[in-house]
Amino acid sequence: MKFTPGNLFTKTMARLLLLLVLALGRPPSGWADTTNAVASAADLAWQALLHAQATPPEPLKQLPDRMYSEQEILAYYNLVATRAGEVADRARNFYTQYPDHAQAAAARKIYLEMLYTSVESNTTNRIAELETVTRELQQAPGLEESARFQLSLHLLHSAVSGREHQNNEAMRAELEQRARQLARDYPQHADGVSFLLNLARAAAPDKSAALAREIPALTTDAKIKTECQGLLNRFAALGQPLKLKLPLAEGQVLNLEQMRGKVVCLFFWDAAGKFSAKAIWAVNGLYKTYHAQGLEIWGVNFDVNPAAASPLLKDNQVEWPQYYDLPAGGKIQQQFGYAQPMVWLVDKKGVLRELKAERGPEPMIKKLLAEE
Amino acid sequence: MKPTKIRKYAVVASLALALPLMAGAATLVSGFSASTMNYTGMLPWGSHVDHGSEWYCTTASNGKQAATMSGGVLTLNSFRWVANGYNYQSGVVWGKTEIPASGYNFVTVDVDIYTPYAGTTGCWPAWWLDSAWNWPPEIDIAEFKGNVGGGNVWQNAVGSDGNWKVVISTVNKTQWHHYGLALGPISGGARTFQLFLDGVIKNQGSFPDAQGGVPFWVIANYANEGDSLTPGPTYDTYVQMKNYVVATH
Repeated sequence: MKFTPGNLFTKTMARLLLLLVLALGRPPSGWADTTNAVASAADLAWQALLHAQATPPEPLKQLPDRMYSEQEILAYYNLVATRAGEVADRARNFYTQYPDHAQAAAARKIYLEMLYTSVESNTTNRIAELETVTRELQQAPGLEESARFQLSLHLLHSAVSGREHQNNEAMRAELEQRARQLARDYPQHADGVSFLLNLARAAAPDKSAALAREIPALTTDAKIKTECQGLLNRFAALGQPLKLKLPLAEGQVLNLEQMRGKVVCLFFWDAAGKFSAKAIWAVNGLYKTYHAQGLEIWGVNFDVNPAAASPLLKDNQVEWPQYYDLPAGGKIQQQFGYAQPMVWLVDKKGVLRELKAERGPEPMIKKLLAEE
Repeated sequence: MKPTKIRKYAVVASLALALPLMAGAATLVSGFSASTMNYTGMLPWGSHVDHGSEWYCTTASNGKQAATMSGGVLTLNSFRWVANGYNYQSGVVWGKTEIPASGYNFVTVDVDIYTPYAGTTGCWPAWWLDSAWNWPPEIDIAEFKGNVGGGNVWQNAVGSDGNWKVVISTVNKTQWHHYGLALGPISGGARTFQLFLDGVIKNQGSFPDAQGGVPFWVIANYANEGDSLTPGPTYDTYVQMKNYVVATH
């Protein structure tokens, strides 16, 4: 560009204005009396907004001599949340003050994006604001149902992430409430119900049972309904004598009533399960350690084709019997449901004592083996 | 628990690579070689298969090695191989040194990874820690699951309660990137973790360890399809890793 005194003046004024904008957060309102001045102030305000958006807090870098403390991490996310909130406010000021500016629509997008970030990073007091904005966006004429759903899903993710910085209970409560609403508002999408089902799987028995009773009314998915009923049946079976007869392909029948005096570990699995390969190895290790002391292990497999299970069984040289439920009609899956590998323990009297032994089976196995 | 995703509003580039070890740090493992890694064609628990469509091996049907370690660089290959219900023959190695659960203030696991097929559906290489006793806990320092979740690298942890903590990022697949983990010792039945990408924290928190202090295997494997969805590539792919260091502090 050719250097001229005029350019120098313009550049100097522009720099001064930019400094003012950066200092004040918005253009001085008194400058709105000429078209050129407004355009210039608006443009500078836009540049200032972009600058603010592009300068987040310095991230936490990997340290060679220590880990970050919980307080440091919380402070960092608080700072991110605060700064993102400030950028959101600046963006809102921009499109409010300059609604006809060419970048007004872009500023609205920045506002929403920064508001999401602020909420996700810990600003839970802005969840209500994000809800309001989401509702406004969802009321846009012609907006497709899938887009409305995505907005609700994004709201859920942001709110749950924000609560996660508080504690796990707050996070779960937020997820449960929003997942329930999502399932009601969008019954054709499985996400809300899936969130609730995940909560049910992980919750303590009372809470899990309450969710398992509620979820079937929110879905038409037969598989989910079956798993909910399975959860309820599992809790009902806990602490009771378990009656189980499992016919094997070879003609033999595994009958729990004939196992008095033995501790029986029931291992539910399928070859495609995320932890199955590892779980078989771990359960087989239990067999090697405790079988001589009276532990029996029965595999209850849920593969449609039993051949899928063969490589894992062969690799681990598994000696304990496998019952293939689906080729046999799927009665165990119907009764107790199945989602991922799980380990149950039945004591020497035939009573089902533990439903989640996979979380640390050895202490419980030792205890049951020591019982009369 | 459904993973939640923490999104950052600006990508802050950092080229911090392998960290210089402070005085007082003890190096447990350094570099990829036959002396540091097991290469048996199986996962640490003795399995040729997991929950993808890959079959782990050493020498593949095409006569090539599924994994090589040369000049400090580990290369895991994934060869297209449709047979017996599997679609690939893939490489896996795991560390000869397990990471203990205590005896330090914290332990770090660092590595550089080059993933030219990051974001490709069906490509699922991973660099991770897995409980050497049970399932889980698990820490995925870098898990590339196609483009699932809107990014191309996942950094996760899951405790013995089965709850996942997930952060998804996007890396430039034409460049090497540094992945770091800082892990605290067992304390009160839980472990504290912090996961870094190019020197910047991405995921952090703690997870329960119901068994009260499981040691971890360090695993590099090339899974396919499964979590990274189908169909996977109909051609051979690979991933490379270098500058592997485990140190206690």
